Amino acid sequence: MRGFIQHLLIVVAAAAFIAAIPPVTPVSAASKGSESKGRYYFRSTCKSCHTKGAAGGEITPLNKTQAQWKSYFASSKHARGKEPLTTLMTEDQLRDVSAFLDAHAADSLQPETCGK
Amino acid sequence: MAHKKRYALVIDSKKCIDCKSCVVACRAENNVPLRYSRNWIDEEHRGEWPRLLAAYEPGQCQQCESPACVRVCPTGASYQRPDGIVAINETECVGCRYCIIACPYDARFFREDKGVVEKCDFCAKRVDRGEVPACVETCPSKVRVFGDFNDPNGPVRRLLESRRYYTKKPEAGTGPQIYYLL
Amino acid sequence: MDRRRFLTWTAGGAVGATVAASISHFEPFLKKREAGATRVEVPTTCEMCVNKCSVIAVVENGVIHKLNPNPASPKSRGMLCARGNAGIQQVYEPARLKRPLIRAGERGEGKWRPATWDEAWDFTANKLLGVKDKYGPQGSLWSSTESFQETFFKNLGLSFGSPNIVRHPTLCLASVNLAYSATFGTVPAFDLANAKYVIMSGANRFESFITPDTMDLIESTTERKARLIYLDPRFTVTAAKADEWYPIKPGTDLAFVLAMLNVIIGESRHDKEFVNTYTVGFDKLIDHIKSFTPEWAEQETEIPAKHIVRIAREFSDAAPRAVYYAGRRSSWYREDFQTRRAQAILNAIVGSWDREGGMVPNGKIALGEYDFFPWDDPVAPRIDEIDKNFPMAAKGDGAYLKLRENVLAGAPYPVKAWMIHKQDPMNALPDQAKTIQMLQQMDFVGVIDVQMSDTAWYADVIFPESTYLERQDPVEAMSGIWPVVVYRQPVIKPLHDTKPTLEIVQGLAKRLNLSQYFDFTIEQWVNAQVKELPIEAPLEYLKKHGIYVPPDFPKYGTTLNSEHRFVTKSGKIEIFSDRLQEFGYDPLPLYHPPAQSPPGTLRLITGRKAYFTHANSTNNPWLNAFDPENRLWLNPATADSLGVADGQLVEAASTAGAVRLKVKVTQEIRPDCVFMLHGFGKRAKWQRLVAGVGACDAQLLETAWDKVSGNAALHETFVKVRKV
Repeated sequence: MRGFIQHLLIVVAAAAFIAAIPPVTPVSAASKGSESKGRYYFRSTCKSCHTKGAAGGEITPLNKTQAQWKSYFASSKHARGKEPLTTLMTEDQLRDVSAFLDAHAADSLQPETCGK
Repeated sequence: MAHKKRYALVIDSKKCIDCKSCVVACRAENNVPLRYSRNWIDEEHRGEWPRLLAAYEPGQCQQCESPACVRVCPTGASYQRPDGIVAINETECVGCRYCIIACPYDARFFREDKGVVEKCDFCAKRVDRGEVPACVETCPSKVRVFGDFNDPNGPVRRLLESRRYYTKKPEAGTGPQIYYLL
Repeated sequence: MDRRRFLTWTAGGAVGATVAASISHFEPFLKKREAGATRVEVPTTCEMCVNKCSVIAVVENGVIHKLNPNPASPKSRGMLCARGNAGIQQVYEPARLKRPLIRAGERGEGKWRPATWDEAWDFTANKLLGVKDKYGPQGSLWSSTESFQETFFKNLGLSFGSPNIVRHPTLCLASVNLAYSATFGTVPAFDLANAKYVIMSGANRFESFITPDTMDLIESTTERKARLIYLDPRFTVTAAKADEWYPIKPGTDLAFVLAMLNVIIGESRHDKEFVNTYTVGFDKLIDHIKSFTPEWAEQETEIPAKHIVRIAREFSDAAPRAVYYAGRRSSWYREDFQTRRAQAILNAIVGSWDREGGMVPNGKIALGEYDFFPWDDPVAPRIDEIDKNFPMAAKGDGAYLKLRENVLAGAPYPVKAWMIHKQDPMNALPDQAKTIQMLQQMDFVGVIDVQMSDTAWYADVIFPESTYLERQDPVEAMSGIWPVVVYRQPVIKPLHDTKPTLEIVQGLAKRLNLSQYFDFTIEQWVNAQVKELPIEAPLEYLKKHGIYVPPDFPKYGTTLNSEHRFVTKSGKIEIFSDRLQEFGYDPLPLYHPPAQSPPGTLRLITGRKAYFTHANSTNNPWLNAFDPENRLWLNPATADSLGVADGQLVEAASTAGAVRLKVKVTQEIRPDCVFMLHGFGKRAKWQRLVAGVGACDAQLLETAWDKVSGNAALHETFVKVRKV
């Protein structure tokens, strides 16, 4: 009986584990924030320090993968942990910037087009 | 020591893709109405499917050394410049069209609207400004090379010394100055 | 009048008289003629096709006399093609759009009344707001083709709140762009100037289009003995120049590529070091291509196996100076994405990446931007449901044919207003009957164009745009092996009551309460763009030179290092694509033979001539002269079997429609295909040279698309031909 229950628990746990793995579907960043506004904030706020030759060094969306950007925003540690990101922007703005960076990250699907 | 300039054209028809850029450039540069053309592309299509051949060859006035058109002109309207360019003085032309008959290359045509004969003059105005003819400049394949035949280091002579070439209807005896590379 | 005096008069006004002889109604110029000629040269950028060559306009007495090539451009290389030279005619065309027009009769009837700009703007804005009230902003569709001012038009649609922006790529090159993006994370340029072995499927570079690739290829093949292998069902100019031409069975190019892969991998001829260092998934390819033998491919393509084998060996020997050229328009077959994927993979495994003579990732120049706070994202989903139907495609471009299908179905929601910029959907989309339906079901159609296109003919309001020679445009950074920044400035003042797109958009924006997004002059926009260029006084520089050419290009090998991360899921070049698999597509190309022509039908194939840009310059007199009427190409055997002779009138019919045109009997096409040029048989009567002349291929072409990219498939139409 115990053996049976143990098997059952393993099966249930396995099922729960498998159910918990998110299905591999395309990430729709737009549902999480505005890419166009995120781009604006990125250019007006982040870029003031994060351009070539400036204090923070050049950073573009390609600097990190989608997973890396996601964890960066989750940890919210800016300037090597000096301050949380919310000292620079509101939560809403950060969500937009995150959407923009996610859409153009090093491994995101961004097929090239013709003539912009 | 300065030499006498003598303009000539080298044409590499192998490169010609019949894109008509030279025809339109000439039309624009020289205000040639649609009914006429100072230059053209001759086409040759041969063979049967699927063994086929197509070749294209630009044509225009050959700017002959001993131009028949100049010889026959009763008014002196057709004349040869010291640099070899054969030109037409429209004010002197009476439109007798004797030159059209004399030309072995069908390079001339009669302008109904003006009553004078016209033909390619190597874009003499451009050349006098230090530019090359419009057809030479505009070509995507750089089919035409324009220059001074008498300059031993110029592009025309260098090409003619390193490549085989032919001229059209040499038997006509007019000494055409367009050299077609083989 | 004495002839000599007549001639003296005309000699003095030679420019005016001869121009007037070829262009009627040219009084304004003749009146302004001055005694002494003034001559200025103005550098600018051509807009007769998408190439954007650099041009120097010669203006004499205020009239554009000649457009000359600008030798400073490494892109146009001191060349200007037939179209570029004929740009003058676009300006002085008597039948061009000269003032705003509002429709006075039925759509397509051709009855117009001239309107003031205020009237045209008011009318349009009211209609747009009406549609917004009734259907939401998503009830409006904004379609455009790339141009320097396109961004203003698109922004108007987006700020209006509509998600329905659609552009030209899914009528053209979306499949090849997506295939290369999926493999390399970018679409590279092809270094044809330095290539030693080039294979081209179609991409008729010596006839359909004049680009730097045209120039590089003619030079490398004639001067440097580069070898050109060309596959095409037609014997085109490129076929005539190629070292080897194969009249490949249409739609089987993928079989050819797969067999090449089979030989190269089977004989271990691939670049192992490159594959190991920079790619993923090669091991899966090895097994995958085993069945695609040259003998199998011969059955599919009608190209002898021994040639396929030899070409594969020669190709790999010449690598990395060997490329299977990607081409541009890839709107051929339903399987085009996978065909181009295979070509990309082939180029990758022989290591023709980021090296001389191979594919080279584009150099880019960063421009500044005029920053402004953007509008809220549109709320509604796109009408073409691109996320669902083509999840990997470039969203901002839309999927045009699927979009039309949904608009006609009125599902998922109605679209009732259509604004169009620099585009002629009546000719650009296949299946014209459906486009007309789409137009007719709209409450409002507004067109911005320089000439009366067939689409403008069906519009409610036409906004006349100034031609490129009369306009100041934003600067454009063109990426490539030799990236440049090109400038477009007015060469003459607008001849007529026309405006640039920005001003047209601003007039609408004011009435739509969207002015905040267009609150700048073109000069302010351009200033913001150029201020980051690394040159002294960039604006003055560009005005004077027309182009900025950065030093230090070409650059090879910038990605060939361990730090470089390709913009793909794995960070490497993806031979096997996980992402494709996740989306439910073949992760490695599988061969699906193209549909075969039902008995008694012939496949209609399309193509271009370099003196016509799609449908928009067939009415240009200087260009029309070369081909005043399109004809249906028939092989002599086909013509015989149909009992038709050269020049005879026939009817060609598909499920989309039927047209009548004359036959051209020619050896230069496969017996199972027919061909006709695009841009004829027009409806717009203002295009006198081509209205009702020849036939319109859009009426014949059926609707089909590539399943991965949504790109139109224009070679899947079969026609019945009969004499009439």
